Amino acid sequence: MTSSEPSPVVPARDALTAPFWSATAVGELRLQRCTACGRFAFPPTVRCRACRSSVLEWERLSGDGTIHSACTYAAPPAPGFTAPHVVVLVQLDEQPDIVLTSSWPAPSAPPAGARVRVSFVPNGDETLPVFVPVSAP
Amino acid sequence: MTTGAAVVGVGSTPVTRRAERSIVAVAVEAIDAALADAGIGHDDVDGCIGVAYSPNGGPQVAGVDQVTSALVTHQLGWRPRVSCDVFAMAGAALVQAAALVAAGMCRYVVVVRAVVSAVDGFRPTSDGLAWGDAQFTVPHGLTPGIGRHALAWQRYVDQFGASRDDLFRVVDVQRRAATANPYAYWRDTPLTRDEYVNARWVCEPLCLYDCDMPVTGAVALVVTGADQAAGHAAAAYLTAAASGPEPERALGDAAIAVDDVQVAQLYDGFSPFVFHWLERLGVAPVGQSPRLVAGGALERGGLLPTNTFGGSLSEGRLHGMGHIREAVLQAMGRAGERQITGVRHSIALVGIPEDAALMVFSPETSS
Repeated sequence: MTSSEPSPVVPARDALTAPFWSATAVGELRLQRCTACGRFAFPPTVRCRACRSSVLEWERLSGDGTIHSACTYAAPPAPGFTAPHVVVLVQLDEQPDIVLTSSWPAPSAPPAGARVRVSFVPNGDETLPVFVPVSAP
Repeated sequence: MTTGAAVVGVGSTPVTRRAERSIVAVAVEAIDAALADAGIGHDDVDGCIGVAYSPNGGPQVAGVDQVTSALVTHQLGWRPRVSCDVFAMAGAALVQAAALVAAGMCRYVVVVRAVVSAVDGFRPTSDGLAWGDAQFTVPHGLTPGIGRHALAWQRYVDQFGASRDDLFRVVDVQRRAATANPYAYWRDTPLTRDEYVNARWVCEPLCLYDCDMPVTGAVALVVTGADQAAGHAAAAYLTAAASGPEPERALGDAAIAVDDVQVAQLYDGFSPFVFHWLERLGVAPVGQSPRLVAGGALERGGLLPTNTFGGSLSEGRLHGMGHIREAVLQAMGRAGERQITGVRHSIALVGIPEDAALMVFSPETSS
C-alpha cells in the first residue's frame, strides 16, 4: 500500500484506545499526556510510565517529526499489502522518545533524520495516521 | 546466592522443518527422554509447566500449534500438585520451576516446550483486525516478528556504522558450531559470505540468513531441588536466574562478573539479537559489540564462546529452548565435541529485549 490507499488490516479500537481513533477521524493526532509530570505516553496506557499517575489527558500534537528508522519488506508483510513495502518509525517533535509506526508512501526507505508530517488515511471504520515527507521549502 | 534448584534431566526430539506428526506426540517424546535421562518415572512428576504459545502466529490452540501443561497432564494421566503455563519464552518457565522446587511445593517439575511449523506460514492477523498494541503497527504493515527487529538494527547501523559483514560474522560462527550439533537443521550446510550477501532480503536490512526458521520439535527438562540433585547421574545447578525486563540482574544477584562466564547461549531469533545481548550483559559497551565479534569473541577459545550449538539460526526456532538445553549440557559437561573446558558458569539468555530470562548454570552447587 501507499499512504493514499487503505490498509488491508483495520485497527480494532478498545476502551483504552478509542480517543486516539476518534481524534484521527477528525484529522487530529492526539496522545495521552500526564497531567502530573507532563510526559506523553504511547501506546495508550492506564498509568503514566514515568510517574505512575493515573491522570492522563488526550492532547493534540503538531504531527511533525523525523524519521527514526525504516525497513523494507521484500514481500507483502501480510495478505493485501503490496511489495516492496516500507515501514518507518517517526520520532515526534514534542517528545522524541515517543515513536510512532507508519507505512511509507514510496518503495524506498527514507534516511534517518528526514522531516515528516502526519496525514490521515481512511481505513475501514477508522482513520490511520500516516507520515509523509515534508518537501524542502 | 543460589536458586536451590537444578536440572537433572534433558530430553530433545529431532528438529524437522515440517510437522510430520501431532505436536503432542513430539512433546511426549521429549518428556519421555527427559524422564529417562533423570532416571525417574512418570509417577514421580509432581509439577508441570508448559510454554503455551506458538511463535508462528497460528491459531494458538492446544494440541494444534501449542502444548499446554493441562494437555500433557491429561494425556499422560499425571496428577501433579502444580500445573500451569507461562506466556513467554521457556526461560520464564524454568525460573518458575526452580521456585516451586526450592519452596518445597514440588519434587520434580517438568518444563516442556514444543513448537510446530505452521502449515500455512506466519500470519499477523486472522480476521483482518489488529487488536491491542498491534492496532498501532500491523495496519501499517509492520508485522510482530521481523519488522521491529529490522527497524532496531537499521537504527543501530545508522548510529554505530555496523555492516552486513558484522551480521555475517554472527551467522558464520554459529553455522560452523552447528556442525557438532546433531539436532541442528543446518548441521551439514556451511554458508559462505557470498551466499549470505546474495541471499534475498526478507525485511531489509535483514536477509534470509539473519532469520531463524520455523521448525517442529520439543525439549523437556526435569527440575528438582539442589539437595536432591546429587542422587542423579548429571546435574546443572541453577546458581541464579531472573525473568522480566532486566534479566541481566541475575549476574549481580549471584555476584558473578560476566568475565567469569565461560560459555553463553544468547537468543538469536534474528542475528542482531546477539549484539544486543552482548551489550546488555556488559561484554561490550553499547555500539562496540560488532568490533568484539570481529575479533573472534564468540568463537571457541574466544572471549565468550557463544551459541556453541549453532543458535536458533542454525538449529531452528525452538524459541529459546535449544539455548537452555545447550547451557544445561555445557554445565553438566555433557556437550560432547561442543564442550567448552573449565565451565564454572554457563548462561542462557532467552527472550526479547523487554521480556527475557537469564539463567546461570553451574556444574556444582554453591551457597
